[in-house]
Amino acid sequence: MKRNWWKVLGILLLLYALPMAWIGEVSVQNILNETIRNLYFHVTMWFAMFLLFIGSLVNSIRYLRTGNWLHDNQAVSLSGIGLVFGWIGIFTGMIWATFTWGKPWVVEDPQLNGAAITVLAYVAYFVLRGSIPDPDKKARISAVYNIFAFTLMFILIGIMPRLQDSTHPGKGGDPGFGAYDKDSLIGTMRPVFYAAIIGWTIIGAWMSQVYSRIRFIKHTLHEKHS
Amino acid sequence: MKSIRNSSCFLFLFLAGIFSGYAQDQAVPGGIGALVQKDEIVADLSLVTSNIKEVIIPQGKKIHELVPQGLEINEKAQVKVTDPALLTGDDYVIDLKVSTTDGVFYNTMIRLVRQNDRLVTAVVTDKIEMAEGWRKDGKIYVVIAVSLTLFFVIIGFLVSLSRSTAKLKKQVTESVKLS
Repeated sequence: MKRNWWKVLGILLLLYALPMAWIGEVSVQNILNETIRNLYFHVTMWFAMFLLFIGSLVNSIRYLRTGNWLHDNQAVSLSGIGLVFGWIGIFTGMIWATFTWGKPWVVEDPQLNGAAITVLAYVAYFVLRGSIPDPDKKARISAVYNIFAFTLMFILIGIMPRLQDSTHPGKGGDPGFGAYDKDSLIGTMRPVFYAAIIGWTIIGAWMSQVYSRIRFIKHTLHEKHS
Repeated sequence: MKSIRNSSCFLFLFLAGIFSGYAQDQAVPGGIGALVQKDEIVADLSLVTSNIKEVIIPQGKKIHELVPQGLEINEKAQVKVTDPALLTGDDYVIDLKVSTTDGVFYNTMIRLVRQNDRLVTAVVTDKIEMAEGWRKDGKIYVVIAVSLTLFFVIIGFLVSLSRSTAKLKKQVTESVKLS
């Protein structure tokens, strides 16, 4: 239990955030209406993905420094679960967009296309791994690619939408929901939002821990038999 | 815009300056300021929505910044003339968001237009649809209970998966060491 306190923290944070996402007081906005509550579901997926990818990046760098397979394993597991969150982000965003922007995909939106390219870049990470049979080469090349993919994501989601017009909030500026968090609701929406981000990130990290164990078992059995 | 289709729109036109306009035969120069008196109320949202609670002021703004200079707005969304001399334009648009005492929000637009020698005031209100009743009805808590049950089951599955993989990992590591 002592080593698993962070999992308990994640569950507690979500136990606070999930009911509040339904009944908490939200900012009243035209067009968005009650869908502003998707902030707690859709947007948190992207933040969780981002944080998991940071974890993956750190482990890739650690692998390149040490050559320890365990770091490569963690990097793969974290980016795998991060990618799952990214897909959820894309699909939930498409549902949300259908009912607020009128169509599931606004082609000229830099943030949307950036998100799509990001997800594809991380899909390519796994395709790349699958195409290299030599395990050491696979780990090293994919670790270098991971650094590239993270940089690409940071530019496409973190920087580009701030420079161009976007249908996302805060066009040509801060692509966050801070612009909507007016009407003296800063105090009520922010804690739920942050709790959901941290909560889902912890659940994602937990999922990737399980994933890494399965990969470890596979790896060990494979080495034993070969 | 789907929300506008569902929301109740009111369009109110009242010819505030109709009599003053007829009284003067010649065109009056100087925008709408020439048609109104000091302290005259040129628009009153409470005529549209009777139970206005307050005008929502966006962050970093003050209430007087919501209306052009020469006009004044109070919390009940009544627009009053403070200085006719400053109202030199022929067309003013005031965008507001107001809340009512029963928790409903309206996007509203007040437009003051000078047409010939009349002041025409148009007020459009657009209700922002929110699920006002569903929380009061109480049964939303059933949905929360159901979704939390789902959450607990998934977390429970994750816990058991976590435990079994940890055990397997240990076993595999030990068996490799032994062989």
